[in-house]
Amino acid sequence: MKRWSAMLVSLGLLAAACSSGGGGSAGSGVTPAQCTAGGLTVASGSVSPGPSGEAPVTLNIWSFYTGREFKQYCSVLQDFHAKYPWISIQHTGAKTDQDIVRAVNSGTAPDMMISAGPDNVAKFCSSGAYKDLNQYLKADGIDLSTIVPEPASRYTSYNGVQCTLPVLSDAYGLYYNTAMFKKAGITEPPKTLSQLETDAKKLTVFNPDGSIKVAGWMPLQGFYESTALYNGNWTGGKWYDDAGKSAFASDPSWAALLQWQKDFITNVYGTDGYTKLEQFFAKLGGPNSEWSTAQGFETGQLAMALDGEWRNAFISDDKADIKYATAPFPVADGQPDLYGSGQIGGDVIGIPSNAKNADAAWLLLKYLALDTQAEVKLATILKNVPTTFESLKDPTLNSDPHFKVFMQIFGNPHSSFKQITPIGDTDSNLWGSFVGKWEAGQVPDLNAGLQGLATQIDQQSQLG
Amino acid sequence: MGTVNLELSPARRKARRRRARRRYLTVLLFMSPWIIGFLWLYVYPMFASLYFSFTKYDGLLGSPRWTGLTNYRFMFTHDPLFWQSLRNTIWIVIVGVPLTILLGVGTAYVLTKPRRGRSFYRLAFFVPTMVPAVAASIAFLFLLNPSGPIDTALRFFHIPRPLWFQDPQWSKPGLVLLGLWGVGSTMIIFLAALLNVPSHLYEAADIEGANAWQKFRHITLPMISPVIFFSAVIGVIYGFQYFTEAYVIAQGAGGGTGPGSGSSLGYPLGSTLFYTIWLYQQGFESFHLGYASAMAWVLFVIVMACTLVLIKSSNRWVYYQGGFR
Repeated sequence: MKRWSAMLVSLGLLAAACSSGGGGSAGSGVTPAQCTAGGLTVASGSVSPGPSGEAPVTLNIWSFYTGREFKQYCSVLQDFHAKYPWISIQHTGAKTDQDIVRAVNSGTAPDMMISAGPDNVAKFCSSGAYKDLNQYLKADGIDLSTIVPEPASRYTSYNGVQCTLPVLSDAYGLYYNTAMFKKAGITEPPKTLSQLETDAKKLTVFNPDGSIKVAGWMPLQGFYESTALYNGNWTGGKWYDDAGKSAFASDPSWAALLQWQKDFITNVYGTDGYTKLEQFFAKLGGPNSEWSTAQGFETGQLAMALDGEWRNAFISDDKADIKYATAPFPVADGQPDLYGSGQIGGDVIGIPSNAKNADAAWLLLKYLALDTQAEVKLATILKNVPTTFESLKDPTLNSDPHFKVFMQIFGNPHSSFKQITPIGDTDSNLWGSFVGKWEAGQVPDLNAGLQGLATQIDQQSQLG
Repeated sequence: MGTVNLELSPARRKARRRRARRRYLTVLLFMSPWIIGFLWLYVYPMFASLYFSFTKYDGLLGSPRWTGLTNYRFMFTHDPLFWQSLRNTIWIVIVGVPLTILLGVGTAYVLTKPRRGRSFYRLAFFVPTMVPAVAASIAFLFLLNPSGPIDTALRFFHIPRPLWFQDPQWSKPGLVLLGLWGVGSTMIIFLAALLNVPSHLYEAADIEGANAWQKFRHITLPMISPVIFFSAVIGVIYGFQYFTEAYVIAQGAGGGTGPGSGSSLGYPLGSTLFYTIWLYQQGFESFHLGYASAMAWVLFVIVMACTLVLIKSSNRWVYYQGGFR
């Protein structure tokens, strides 16, 4: 008896030792068919079979959403459940791409994953971690090119494998303070980078000690969303050449962009402009101020800003006391045809290759990504740009002139997200680090530096 | 004279062996949770990572592909960020560990002096160590923010105000400050060691006419040298694995949040890119698990070598009362 007791205790300890410390899902323990902070859960037993005898199924979906947005997403999932009553949904938020990699690898993947951006799409498509959705599109007779703008199809697929679809996107454009423009005698927003520099010079105000009081435009790559400019959309920069090699050295637009930035800093802010801009950024409160009422454009300390469509909602929520308008961001002087476009990219949804309920997951994915009503509802509640041609025409969303600009930017065929590759955001990180050093004057030879960067990115692509 | 037969009969020998085996198995059974955990969660992953370090492996559906020494060769010859991260890490070890020990000894020494409120002061110095690293890092982001309270105080006294975590020259010193704020755990060990120094040694020194410095140098320091040694070894090991604070600070202080903006790890200008941060970036953001495994093994070798050097050098400067080493 003693031995049995010892064995039971031992097994109990063993079980405790071997159990994982994973936390419970964000969606567990909620009232059936209700949207709560925990998400939407419908007990499988409470639903009936589908019209063609489909067995009731509970989809386990993951997303990066948290807090208010997680809760808001729920109402769209409820709409889906109303349309497909035999499909229940268990939604778990706060999941990252790292989580999905672990889950796919260990065979515990959910039925669907909503990622925050396209950075890892190429990895998921090329490795087979996500299903190729072309088979579903073909079976349902869907021609994606008639529903989703081509640039969005590009950042959701890799080498012909459409392993994700876009659902909502960000679009980047110019915010400008109309009162300051009027005071400076500027009648329209700049359309080229040269005009941006001229206007920024007129709009910049210095304190008596030479520090910046109002910045015309902030060119530092680490400043708020100014980083988007250095992804090359507005200057026609290619990240990779046709052979798949890094193009930072071979495409002259990159060196031109960085040289323009250096000249901009000197011409607008003086030879010690970099230091002044760093101090100005620090005074604003650093990067964290971007998500608070201290955000420079909202406080009137920035005359122009490169930002995403969500800034409209922030300005409204923060009750910022500014008069402003939006426009496409200026483009390189030699690339007038790019005007009207911008950087885009947002949520992507895929079905892991070892999903247990892939067919039902496709119905949900199709609903979220391709259904006009669902797209418009998501765009309305989450304040992002919808991603289908039809939803981009929605009269309510287009009724706000500030927001309309970003809808048009998303629909512009020249809009883009940087070329994606299986190395994820490694190239972005290396490029960002290089631009930071360049701004700080730590790159003595620009062309040699870009060559070294390109080599480094190519080597990372080969790495295991 | 009769003799006693000490030999056991075969049946009793067998029974004793059976009892011994049963005892052995019982012990093993009770130890099994740890043994299984150790083999499964430590030994297996260690050797798996050693194998992965010689492969190209993305952690997804494909199997690891053997590439020999490629990862190691790339690390030493083609990865400038490996060297940058190693330099940053060595900086934090060389500056942070001695400062932590110095402040730990100094604080503990001061705390042995007050006759009143001793418990309060000890508690006050120890409490910061109970704050989670993430919370402490966020608090320091706020404190050292260019428009934060420290900046305001410095401005009031017309003292130059660094940009701390926004300035590559000041980001690492800022992290060291954060580390020193949590010196309580080191301090408490030194306090115990100081209180353990026999008072008769000081009395003898007083009779000999030794001054305070001589007593500290020739009595206190030798007597607490084993604790200094312990703190140095632990400090070096943790220093090479420095991660949480740097990760939180860089993410908090760095800009760029949207898709395509990359991560802020190492911000600003790679000054907080420590070894484990780069390893994390490679393994879990770039999915280069083979390369990350190789980096982990190189780190293991570095830490092992530093620990051995410290142990070897301890013969010369660590004094053990009982003469044991």
